[in-house]
Amino acid sequence: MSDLSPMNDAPDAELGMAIRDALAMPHGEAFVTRIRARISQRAWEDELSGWFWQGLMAASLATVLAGWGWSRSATTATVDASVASELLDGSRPGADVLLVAMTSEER
Amino acid sequence: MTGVDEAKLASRASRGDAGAFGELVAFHAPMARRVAYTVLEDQEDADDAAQEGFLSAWQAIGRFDTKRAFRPWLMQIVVNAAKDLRRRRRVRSTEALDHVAAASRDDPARDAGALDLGERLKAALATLPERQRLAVVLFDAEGYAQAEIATMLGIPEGTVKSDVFHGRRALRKVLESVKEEWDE
Repeated sequence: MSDLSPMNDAPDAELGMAIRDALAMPHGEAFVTRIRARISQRAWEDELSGWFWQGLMAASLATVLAGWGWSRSATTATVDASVASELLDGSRPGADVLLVAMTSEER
Repeated sequence: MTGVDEAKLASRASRGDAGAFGELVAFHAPMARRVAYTVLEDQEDADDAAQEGFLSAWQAIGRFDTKRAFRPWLMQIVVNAAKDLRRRRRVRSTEALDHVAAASRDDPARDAGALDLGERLKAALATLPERQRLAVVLFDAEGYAQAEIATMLGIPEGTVKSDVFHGRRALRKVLESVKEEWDE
């Protein structure tokens, strides 16, 4: 019999073994296999999730850059077209002078 | 598994090595299931809680301080998972406890020695308050130090000592009576 004094700090080996036997549960390997599968699955999902967010950020950045590039070229084209139409219209004073200056510069 | 092996595996696992964590699971699963059972007193619930504990530990392993011991850290997570599950399934858990306690009180086969030592110890454990159950199982069966148990359960070390003393006394009575029967 073990020392049942409250001051005894050592584990009761005999009782400990009896408790472990009493609480032993069946299907240990199946349990471990299930947990390992869940962990592998979760690790894979975390990996995919990481790639998903990186991909999403890259796609967002590409969309913003493409939008910025498109709007810039569209604005330039609009300005060029409006200047050209104003000059070709010829109704505004000095337009002919400006048009001659521009065409002579291009030459 | 030596402390060094465990520390190495825990270190690898903390860097995201699922295989290393799987080895830790394989080694600690029997203990985690026993400890979860100590709280829940139902095998299915104990498995659910142990599984939840392992998955929570895997989620948190990146934050694990590899200078600390892995085993108490893991077992604290398992104990918390079991307590959470017990709170969620309190009714079912109470029924299970009543069932075991009733079996120990009313089963006429008990006096005839038909219940084996394991069943009697489980029945005796079921009569103890949860904290005493955990203290005596973690200390005597699983080999944790009283200071580690105190940290795990969030109670003073003196309380652990007292719980181990009272829990052990109740279980020892059962063990001794079965041994006497075997001797007769």
